[in-house]
Amino acid sequence: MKMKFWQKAYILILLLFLLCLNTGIAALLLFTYDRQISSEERTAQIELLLLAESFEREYNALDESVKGESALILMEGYGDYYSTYDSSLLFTEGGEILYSSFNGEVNRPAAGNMAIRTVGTRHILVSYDLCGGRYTLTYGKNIDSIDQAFKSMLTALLLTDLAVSLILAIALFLLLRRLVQPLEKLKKTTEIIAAGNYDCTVEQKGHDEFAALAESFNAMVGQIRTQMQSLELSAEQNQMLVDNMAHELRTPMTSIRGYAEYIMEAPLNEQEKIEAAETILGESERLQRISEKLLDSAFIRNNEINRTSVTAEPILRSVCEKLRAKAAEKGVSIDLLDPSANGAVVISGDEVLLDLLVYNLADNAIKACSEGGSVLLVSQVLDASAILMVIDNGKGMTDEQIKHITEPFYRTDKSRSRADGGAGLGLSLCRRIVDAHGGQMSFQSEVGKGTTVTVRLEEARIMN
Amino acid sequence: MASILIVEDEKPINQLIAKNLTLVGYDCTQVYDGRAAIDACATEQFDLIILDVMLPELSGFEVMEQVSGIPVIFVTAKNGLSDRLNGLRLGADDYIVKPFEMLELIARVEAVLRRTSAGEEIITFDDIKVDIRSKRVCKAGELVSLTPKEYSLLEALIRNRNLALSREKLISLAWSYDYDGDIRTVDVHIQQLRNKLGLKERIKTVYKLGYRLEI
Repeated sequence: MKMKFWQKAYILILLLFLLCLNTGIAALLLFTYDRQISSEERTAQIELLLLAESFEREYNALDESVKGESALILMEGYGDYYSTYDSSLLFTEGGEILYSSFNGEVNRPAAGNMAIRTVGTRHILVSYDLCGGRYTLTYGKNIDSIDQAFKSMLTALLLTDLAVSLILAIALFLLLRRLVQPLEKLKKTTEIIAAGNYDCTVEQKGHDEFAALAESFNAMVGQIRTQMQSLELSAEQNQMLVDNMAHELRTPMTSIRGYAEYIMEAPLNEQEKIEAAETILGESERLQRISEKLLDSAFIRNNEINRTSVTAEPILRSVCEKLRAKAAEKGVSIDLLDPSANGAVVISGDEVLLDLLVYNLADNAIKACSEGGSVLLVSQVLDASAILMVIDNGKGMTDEQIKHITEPFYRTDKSRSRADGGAGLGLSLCRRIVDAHGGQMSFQSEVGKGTTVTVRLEEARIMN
Repeated sequence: MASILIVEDEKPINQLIAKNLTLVGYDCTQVYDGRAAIDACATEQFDLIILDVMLPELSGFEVMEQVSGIPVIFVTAKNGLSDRLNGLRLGADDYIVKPFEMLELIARVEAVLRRTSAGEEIITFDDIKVDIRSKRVCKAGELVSLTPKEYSLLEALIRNRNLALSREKLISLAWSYDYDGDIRTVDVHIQQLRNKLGLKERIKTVYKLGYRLEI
């Protein structure tokens, strides 16, 4: 049979309690009874002795000639007297009964002994030799009243015992049920959580072990919930990455395929053919750019960087030159902030990757600017770190956008249209480069005002 | 002539769809974001919308919810099942995943229009009249007797008019995919069509590829 913990506890506690209670009651009863009996026994002995003494005194005072007869009469007097005290007398001479106030045959104990025997009812019997052994007197104290009292007490106690046991059984049942209730609740909650609902918590009441258990349990569930959420989040991000990558790859592929079909199937003139071919070329280049960036990203992740002491200024200058034409096309200016004020900034890093980093940041800055905007490249030393900053006064970003800006394929423009160019890989590549250098990259931005990207890198110690 | 609204933010793809659908005889309107799509629907009546899912301003799904009563074919780069179901649950008539074949898109456009009975019923060019519903072809008012195979081939050419179709493509379009006869059978039937309908000039042989019906 399957029993629950509280049921087992209930049965065991109840049994134990009943055992103790009843043993206690029984012991008490027996002890009381014994005490009463032995007190009666003592009384009987004393009574007998008194009686014997008084009898002998009177007997000795009797005239020798009437002693036999008179002793009987004397004893009868005593017998009458004692019968009012619920006691009986047996007077024998050499085994022959001279007088008996018992109403029945008496199996008397030997002289000087005491016994409890039944003569009609139970009696304490004490025998004594009188007059130098001529007579034997047996005193019988009726203890029927004690027995009756004992019986009625026993009945009363048994009834009380029954009542107490019943009350106990009910009270214990309710109490245990109540005590294990937190466990039941915990079990139910566990089932709910096992079914996958991690928002459930157990109610915490009081300061006992159950409350402590509930607390640890809630802490555990919280931990699991956090873990699940982060797993779900990362799964979601992965799904988004895959979706975005699919979009970025499939869009140019659709164009390439479509225009190739178009050239093959539609009757086109020279002009139309060239336009279609141009689209195919442009989209191929786009695919190429994406694959290059993905490869760069993978390369940076999988390889150690080649650290040397790199002076920042030439890098900034070369990026400026490379991007000037593109910036000018959009009507955006790109310049170096005069670095001489802070002296030369020397970074411990990989020159090629740093160039790629600054290029991508500057390229993004240009994309963020509209006509008449400006992009500034800054290098400086701050708190023993080399700082690179790319500042633009373009469209800026919201905090939410900044949070996602370095995720691969993320673009501030939800539709992912290519009005601004890239696939959303540039900043994720930058993040990779900065991470590989053990540096930090942060964005300060205000919508409509512009964005400042700050990269903090390790400064190269120059040995003097 | 059915009019189609093309909503796609990628200009080259939008252009491409428009060019192809125009070639086979549809009236195309091009817009590049969700808001413009809704505006266009408010001012003009379209028989079908070709709708990209990822759009600036409003997503394709949102546009779909606001434009009711017009058949929609979703075009998307995602082929996740949940997206597909989402689109179809919203009541999209079809769903095509990038990259797709233009002939495939044309076939689906046609299928949707035929279902919603906005497709072409009778096509006329020169002195030829083709009744798609009753599958009858008249030339100069006279009923021309065509075999079922010839008729199917003619219908495939008409539906993809102005586009060159390979012999394999023609077989699969006209005579179902599991046709396993000789590819050259197409040439024989094309010859028959040219002769019976006087389409020597119209049905062009495209070098190394197949045939094109130019209307």
